Amino acid sequence: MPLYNDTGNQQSTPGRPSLGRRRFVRQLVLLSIGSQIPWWTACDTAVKTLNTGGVLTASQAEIADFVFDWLLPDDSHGPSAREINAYPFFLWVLQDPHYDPEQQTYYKQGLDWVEETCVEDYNGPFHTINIRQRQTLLDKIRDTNWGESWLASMLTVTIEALLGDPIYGCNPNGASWEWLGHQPGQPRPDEHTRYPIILNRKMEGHPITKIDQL
Amino acid sequence: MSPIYDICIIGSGAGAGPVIYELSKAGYRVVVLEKGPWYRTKDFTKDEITAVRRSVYTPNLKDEPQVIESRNEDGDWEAESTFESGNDFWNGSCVGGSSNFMSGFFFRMKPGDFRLRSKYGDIPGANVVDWPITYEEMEPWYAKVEEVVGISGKVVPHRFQEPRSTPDFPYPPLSVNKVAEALDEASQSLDYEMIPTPRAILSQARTRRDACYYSNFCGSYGCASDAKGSARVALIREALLTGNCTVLPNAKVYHLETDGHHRVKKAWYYDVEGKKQSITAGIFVVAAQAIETSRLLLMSKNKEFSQGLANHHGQVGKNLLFSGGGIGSGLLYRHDFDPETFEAFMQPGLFVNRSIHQFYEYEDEETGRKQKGGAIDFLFEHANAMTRAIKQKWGKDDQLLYGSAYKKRLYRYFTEARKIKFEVFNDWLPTDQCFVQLDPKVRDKWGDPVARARVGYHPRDLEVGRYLSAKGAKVLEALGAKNISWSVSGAPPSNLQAGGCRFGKDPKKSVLNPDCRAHEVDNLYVTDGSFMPTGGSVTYTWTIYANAFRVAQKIIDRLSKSDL
Repeated sequence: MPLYNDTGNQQSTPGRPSLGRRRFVRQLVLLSIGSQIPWWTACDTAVKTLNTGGVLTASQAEIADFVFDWLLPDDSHGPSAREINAYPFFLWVLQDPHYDPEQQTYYKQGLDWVEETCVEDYNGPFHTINIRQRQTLLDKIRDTNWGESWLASMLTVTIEALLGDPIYGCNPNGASWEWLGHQPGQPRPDEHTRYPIILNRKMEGHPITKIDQL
Repeated sequence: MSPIYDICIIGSGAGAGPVIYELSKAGYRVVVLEKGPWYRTKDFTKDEITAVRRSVYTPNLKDEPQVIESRNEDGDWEAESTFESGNDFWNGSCVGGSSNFMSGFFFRMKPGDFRLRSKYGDIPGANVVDWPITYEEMEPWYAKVEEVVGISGKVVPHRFQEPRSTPDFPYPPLSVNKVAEALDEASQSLDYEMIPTPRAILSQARTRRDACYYSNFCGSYGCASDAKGSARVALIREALLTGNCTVLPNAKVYHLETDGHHRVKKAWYYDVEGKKQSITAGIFVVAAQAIETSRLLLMSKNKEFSQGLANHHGQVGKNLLFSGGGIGSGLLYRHDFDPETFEAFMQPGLFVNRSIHQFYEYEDEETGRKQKGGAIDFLFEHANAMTRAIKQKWGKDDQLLYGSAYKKRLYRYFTEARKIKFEVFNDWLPTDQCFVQLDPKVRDKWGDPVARARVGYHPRDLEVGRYLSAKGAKVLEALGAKNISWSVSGAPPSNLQAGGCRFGKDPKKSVLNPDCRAHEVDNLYVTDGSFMPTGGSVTYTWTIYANAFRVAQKIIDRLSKSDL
């Protein structure tokens, strides 16, 4: 859907199926019906210790952490996922009460689907396979419809962390902006104007009668 | 008992601002009911997360969806909630409305746009009519917008230059990127007339408003210097200075109550806590943007108006308009230009501000008849970093890119090229397949039926769009751009809405009279883009502003004669 006069919004993903966004996500979820979170997710203690933010299991956290590295690796060309704090940013997204809950669920379900695929291919959970196997697994997942869509959404989160304002804990010191020669617009957000603080304005319903209020 | 307020205005965007401004300055007691919150200038930053990725300035689609009906692949009409699709038709829900977030590309409609049917004849399948007023009647109000809202630009003679009552714009043109000069040369080589694009952005400071500081983030963002001519800073702020104006934010009007004598007596609204409240006034003005204005009238049905307010003849919501046209782009690569030129192209902040109106009318190659064309606007790709980066994640064969391959591509895209774009504007012909009604099932967070808009287009819209887009692509080619592509589709641009309550002389075929007063309701006016029976081939906002100033004067004339 075109938007004129350079609104800068991207309302749909170019080249993606013409299905509605939410309907598409739901179809992907339906494809996974019958699958169960593997038993070891609950009892596993060997996974890497990561902050789960109270929104991920330890297994989900480890997979997410690796997926971000895979999407934006440390290759000496520009910031890596780790350098831009992609994983903490992801936790912030998952914890955001204003964010689309279906989309948050979708992010997490994808992590479970990765785990399931890993078990099918390697007879064990993600944390037990080596880095090369993990990369091979994600390469394979990218070639599936669900995998490509889910990884594309994870890449979008990564891009937000890459190019977001450092006030959100990502893109420290604007290193990504500097890498790409991008000049952020001024004024930048501060603690009073950052998301989601700015949403509080929506709750102010007092009549405006004086100019200083505008 | 006399009402507390002389006039109650529903909405506070471009269609409302001039009425708020003029009535307040004339000494009338004005109250404004705005659905959204009020953001102050100091609240506006250039944060992409806030403005674009989390869409803070528009309603949550779960709370306030709309339903869009479009044709599916089989040609059948298919309805989908915007919550489901994610295709948002809101454009700014706050004091000042979407005028806060516009880019301010401002064009007058041309004399021929006011008499489209007389000039070009009927088009089968389209409900083309002449406007009930002429360009000459609108011209003084266009001129007033230049002064009061503030428009910068430079008048240059060209084939379709509109007649003007003043020699030039009150503010000189904004500074432009070197690419503007290159576009001038490219168009000259093609014998095309390239003209400067006027903008509703101050190039020089004036009282209570600073000049543009070239932030590089204009469309979708609120202005931090008040240079942009939003209704909030240019009009509502001035109205508040009079002491006659009260703005109620977070006041969602859901019903206009009539008195049994074809007059509105109360506007009912939900306050910030969701409680039902009402306002009594002498005159009511609706300016909630086209889709929502029709929705409110349809929701205001009662014993007196069983089909909706001012809708005895079933015209409310009909002939909804968007803008026809297309979008094209090309890349200016570093290796195609000398270093100095390329670095100048890469300089952020400065505008392109170039347009072509030469093909506003053209000869159809098959019939030889003159037909209506449109305008072509040139601009750089928006500076939004995330949006640009997201577009780069799909590689050849539409496959997801990731890892080092993605990083390399991203780096090249940001540092080795700059995307130049064009946007085509042509008439979105009014048809029976583009209208607003109430959805029978979907409700908003207050439990009210949401608007359901069918968004059918006329095939002519695409033909004209293709003709103009091919011209735009030629300019980019002459400019030296590569990877040039363009697309024209019948998908409506959600930020350019008009129609639904067209004005006219015949009460059976129009909702409003030539003064934009409802034929059927003595004290009800509509002043947003809903009044437009045809949309012209330019962006709407200047015309909406101008018409609202015109109607404001009609209301003042009426009030001064104690007609109400």
